[in-house]
Amino acid sequence: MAIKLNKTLYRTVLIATFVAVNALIIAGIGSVLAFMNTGADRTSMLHLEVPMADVYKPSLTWIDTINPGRPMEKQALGEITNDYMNAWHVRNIAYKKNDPYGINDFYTDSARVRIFENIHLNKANNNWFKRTTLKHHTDLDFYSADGTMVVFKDFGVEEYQEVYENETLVLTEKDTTSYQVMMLLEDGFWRIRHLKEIPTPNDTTQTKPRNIANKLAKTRNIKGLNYYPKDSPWDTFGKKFNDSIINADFKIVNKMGLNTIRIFIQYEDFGKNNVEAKKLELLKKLLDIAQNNNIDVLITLFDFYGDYDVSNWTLTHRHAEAIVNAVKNHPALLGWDIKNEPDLDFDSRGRQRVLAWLEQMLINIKKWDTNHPVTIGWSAPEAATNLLNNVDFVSYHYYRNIDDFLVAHNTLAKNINNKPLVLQEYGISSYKGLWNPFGNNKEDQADFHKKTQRIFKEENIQFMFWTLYDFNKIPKEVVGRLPWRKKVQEHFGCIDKDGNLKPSFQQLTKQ
Amino acid sequence: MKLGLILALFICIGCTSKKEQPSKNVQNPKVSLQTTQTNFIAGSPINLKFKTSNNNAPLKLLLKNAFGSVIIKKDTTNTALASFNIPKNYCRLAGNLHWKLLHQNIPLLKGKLYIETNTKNKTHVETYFGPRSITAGYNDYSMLTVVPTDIYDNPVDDSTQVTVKYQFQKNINETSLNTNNFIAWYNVRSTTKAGRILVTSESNGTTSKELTTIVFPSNAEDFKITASSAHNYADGNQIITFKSNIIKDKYGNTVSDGTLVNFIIKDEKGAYLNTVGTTISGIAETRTLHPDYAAKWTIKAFITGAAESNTINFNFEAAIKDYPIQFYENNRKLVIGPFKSFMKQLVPDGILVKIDIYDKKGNFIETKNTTTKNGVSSIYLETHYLPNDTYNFKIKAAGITKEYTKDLYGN
Repeated sequence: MAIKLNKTLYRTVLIATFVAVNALIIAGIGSVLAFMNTGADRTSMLHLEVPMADVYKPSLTWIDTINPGRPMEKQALGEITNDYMNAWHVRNIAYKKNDPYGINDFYTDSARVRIFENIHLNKANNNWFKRTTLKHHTDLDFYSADGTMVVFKDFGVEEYQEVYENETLVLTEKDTTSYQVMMLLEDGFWRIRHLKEIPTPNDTTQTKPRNIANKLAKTRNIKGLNYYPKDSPWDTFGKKFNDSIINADFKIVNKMGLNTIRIFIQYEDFGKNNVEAKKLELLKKLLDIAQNNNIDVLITLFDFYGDYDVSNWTLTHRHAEAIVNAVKNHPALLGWDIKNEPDLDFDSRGRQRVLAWLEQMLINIKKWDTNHPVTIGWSAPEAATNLLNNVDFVSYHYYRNIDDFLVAHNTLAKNINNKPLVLQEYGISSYKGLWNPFGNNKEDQADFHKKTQRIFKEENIQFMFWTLYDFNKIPKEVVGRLPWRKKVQEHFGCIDKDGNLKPSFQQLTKQ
Repeated sequence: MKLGLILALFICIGCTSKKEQPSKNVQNPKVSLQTTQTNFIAGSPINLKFKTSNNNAPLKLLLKNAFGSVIIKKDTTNTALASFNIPKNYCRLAGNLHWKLLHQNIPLLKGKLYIETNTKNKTHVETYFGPRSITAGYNDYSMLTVVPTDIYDNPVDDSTQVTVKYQFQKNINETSLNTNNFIAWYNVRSTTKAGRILVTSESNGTTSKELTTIVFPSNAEDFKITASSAHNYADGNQIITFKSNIIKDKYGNTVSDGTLVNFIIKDEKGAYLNTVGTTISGIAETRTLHPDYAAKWTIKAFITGAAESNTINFNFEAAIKDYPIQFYENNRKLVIGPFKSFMKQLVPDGILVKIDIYDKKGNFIETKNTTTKNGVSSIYLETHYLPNDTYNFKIKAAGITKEYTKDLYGN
């Protein structure tokens, strides 16, 4: 018996070993073959195409391409522009990481040495730089007959740079510089050969004067709410976009005696730097419906965006530019709220970094749209004095004890140079249940709104409450995954999940 | 103990969060720039001196030029004069050099220096020349672009003089240019004679290397062709040669070797034959086989898109005047030939013989092809394909058609 068992055991072990050894051999051969087949695609030698993601998109305009050498072709101009931008980008990244990666592709032998020397110095001193450029105005001087050399001037390059020493931000600086550039076409890449700073001519472009008085006057009379459709909170322009639902909602808003809504545009949802035309159509549709219902719309840009990194500035600029230019002439547009509660990112991203991003964005939007006021939706009255001189009206949110509200509001009101002040978000959840047994019920919510409405009326305070509906599903990006937070967030509305009016509805409706 | 460790860990995590710029109140020293010179020549050492009220103040200097930025520390300690030695690579790049004096990360002073191109020392001359091949005539040109730089690779200032020399055959020309936008450029015009043009340039005593562009002959002009052969019998064996005269462009240059010449042959039935030759020393030559039946050829040659030749004719006389046909083995074996050529010699192998077979009602059945060997061709008609019956045969060879009606029988 024992011998027999032994025999079976031996057999099993032998067969198993055999199979295992074979499997190993096959796996080995396989991985050798796989290794032999990997590596660069042979066509890559030709540099036929270097697919690059959109990483660097400052605004660049060619003033003209008239030159004595050779007529500029559209194709070549596109390639030159692209590689010139790539050259700036790889240099920015090289100085950020003190790593010359990519420099060889966009600088000639003699030019790249200059960058390497700089990296070497900065590495030794532990300095690094976050740089970006915002604007280029290029003007062609010369394009050679064989199409392998260009010389052009790049006027008024707006550069922004953050200087770091170890981990400390030393300085941020912004300047406008002009350059003369020579690029050579070498094995498929346009590479920078010479880059020389030249004097910047006086900017003679006429800036259109801003005309925001009408819209700004409206902000002194805001009675409104923050709007999301019932079934698609934080996703107004998603798959569930339905103009008849929005129309019905706006009719309710209008009937309540409110004149303004605040909507949100999610950065990624709208396609980042390549804003989707489809989304812009939906946005216009929403504005049309608002116009038909006599409602002004405050658009909040950059929801769910929290990077602010200098490397991505140009991408966010292209995002905002596309949206602003698409709807800036719409009569229903009240103004631009650059960012929802950016002060909450101060700790994680750095106050200076966030403020620098906001400041630049305010400048840009004021330039793109000269007819609408701009603001920032600060999360607390204390934060609302940031960038006071850059915004046209001040917005803040208040979710703390209502008894302390008036003091906080009046303190802020004294410190904002008489600019219009809007309580842009406030409200109270009517959730009382398992996850929040000591919360407020619907009656408490109604009391709250009764009280606040009285204060607003007495003190002439402009308000936008949160929000029209109770929501079924709160995305995790809003309050996280914790059920006691989600549950509370679901019940801020004055109409419940089934469409029934809550007691607070009556309080929020103009008597 | 464990709790302590965890606590320590938390404190560590707390500490590693990003530091903000401290907004503490620092006492900034009073500083003023001592160095008065603001213009320097590339490569000369630059030293910036500041007078400071606090000898030990940790002053730093932020520099920025077209290629990048750097922060440097002062290289004197405990003196009322803070001096900064600008790094070599910043002294060498011509253009503006911006500086900011920092104390505890707060900029106290800022200014800029201008670094001029170093014209005193040797100049480097970089030249780009292209396209490197052009065609003769008055329209084409090669562009010479000259980029003089100073010893530190800074492009020279505008209006620097550059001399361009170019040579063609016995002529050497010289012209003087001024740089503008880093460069000076000159269009070297093509000549009417084909050949090489050599160019060179010179600036500030430095000459560039020699560069060449090749002037290729321009497009061919119309030309003449001739045909020649040992005889004009259509024997399907001899080779006929077509030849052009020396093909030239309109300036009298012989066209480039390898110019493709298409010879198009049209016979009296309107059928086309094509043969191609390439030129050597301007002459294109090509050959083709004689037909095996009498034909009248019209030949014309083309250089596609450029030129054409005259039209010539070549007539072939029939070499085979007639041929016998014998039927054997119940008329199932056909022996065609012997074929005899113009001197009664047997024709070379490979004359095509074509037999069209029809049934007695005149319906076409099939075509059989064969070729001659030793002057004769034979063919056997199998019973499988042609059962016993009466058939009509049309035999075509050497342009001569013969017709027979025969009964096939036997097996």
